[in-house]
Amino acid sequence: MAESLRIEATEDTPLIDFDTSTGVFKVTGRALPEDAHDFFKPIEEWLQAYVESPLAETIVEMRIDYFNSAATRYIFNLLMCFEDIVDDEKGEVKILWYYKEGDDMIESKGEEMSSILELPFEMKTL
Amino acid sequence: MASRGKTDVRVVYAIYGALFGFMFPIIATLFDAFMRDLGFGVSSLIEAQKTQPLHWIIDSAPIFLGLFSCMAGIKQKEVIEMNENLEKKVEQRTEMLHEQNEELRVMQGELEDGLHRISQSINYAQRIQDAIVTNTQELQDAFADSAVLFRPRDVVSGDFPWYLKKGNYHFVAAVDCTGHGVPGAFMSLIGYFLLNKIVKEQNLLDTNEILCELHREVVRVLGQEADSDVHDGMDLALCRIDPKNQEVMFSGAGNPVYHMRDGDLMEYKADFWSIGGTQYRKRKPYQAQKFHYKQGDVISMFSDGITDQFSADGKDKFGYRKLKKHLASNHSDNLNGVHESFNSQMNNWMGDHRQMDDMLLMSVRL
Repeated sequence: MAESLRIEATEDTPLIDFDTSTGVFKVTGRALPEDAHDFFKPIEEWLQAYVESPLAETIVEMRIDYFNSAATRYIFNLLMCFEDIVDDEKGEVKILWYYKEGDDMIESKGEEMSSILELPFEMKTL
Repeated sequence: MASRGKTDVRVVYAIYGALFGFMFPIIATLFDAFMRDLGFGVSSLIEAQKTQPLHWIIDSAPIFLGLFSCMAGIKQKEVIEMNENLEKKVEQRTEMLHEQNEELRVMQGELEDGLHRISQSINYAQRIQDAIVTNTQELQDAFADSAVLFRPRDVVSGDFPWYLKKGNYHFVAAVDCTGHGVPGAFMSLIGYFLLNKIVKEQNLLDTNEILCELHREVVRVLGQEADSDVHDGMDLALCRIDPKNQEVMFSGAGNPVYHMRDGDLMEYKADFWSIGGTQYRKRKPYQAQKFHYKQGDVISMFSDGITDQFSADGKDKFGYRKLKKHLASNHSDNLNGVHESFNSQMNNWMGDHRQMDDMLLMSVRL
């Protein structure tokens, strides 16, 4: 089993808590890194390795309250990695997209991503 | 302690103790001689000593007091030495702090110097960006009632308004490049020149085709076909205004366009895909939407720096609703005034909260 990935939150980057002992992967907080590539690239690399031999069930909990346009791309990219698990029938994935009641920005971004990603996608209010 | 000279404090204490001790046998002997009427001659004092064994005990007083005193001296010496050590340490620390202070001052100077040079360089870059990218004169010449609210987060910006006239068509776009500041400004130049090239030289006139070509070109220019580390690109809302047929053709990458008429607002949604980057493996070609307009209608486009801006307490984002409401309810006012009042609304909204991203709002009365 792959080792868990945990990156603590900062003012500009979210908490990354991919726990391989529970299969719950959390992204929590704000995402507006000055260098989005720098922040997201290692996470993407970790995920690409993970989807090769994933757990039977992975639950992705997205609780982001802000992301800038660069971060949006990378976040979408991260979620897209999970499609490989489903495509290759290696396990099950569920995305839970949380947004604050009335936050139409995060809600619409979630809806857009859900319409494009071929993954079970649930919208949830906080 | 320098005032003690070289004499050891222990010796000094022992001598004082012994001298003090001598008082006891002297007084005792004199007192004894006086009480026994022996007189005060040397021989009588010796006689007093010889005949009274108590004196022998009293005579040892200088020795014991000397010893005790010497012990006190030893302690005193330790205290003095400790004090001296402490003083030395304090001196050393003070000196160290002094040196560090000096280093910090030099460093601060260097930082200030560097910062100054960087800001000068960015200010210079701003002039170039202003001259090329954010010049809105042509738009204003073509549409008398048009307005651009442009609030870079830093000095230079990743957002830019774009306008081009080609034949009967007016092309208007609000472009939001990924990043802000210097990287954003680089992207804005790429976007600006690519859009010009695509419409002016390649003669692509349909908005969806322009966006498809813009994406291909950004990918090519930034070398994103290969496994590139550059995922940058842009979101934009692009309108082609056709005054002859009173028709607008719209395509969007991420950002919508609003169409206002008599206090009503119609929204035309954009495609999800951003321009540039190879991350969307299932990318579909951009779509176009067309709508007719009446003279006096207004179209508005914007970057997400506006809708994503946090409130003063950092709890809420500006969102779409307030923007729509403001644009729809002030549709008949002069657009510069609409933007100005919107800008103050934004100022009230964000209070002391830092600006999160570049902001761009473009409105054109058709």
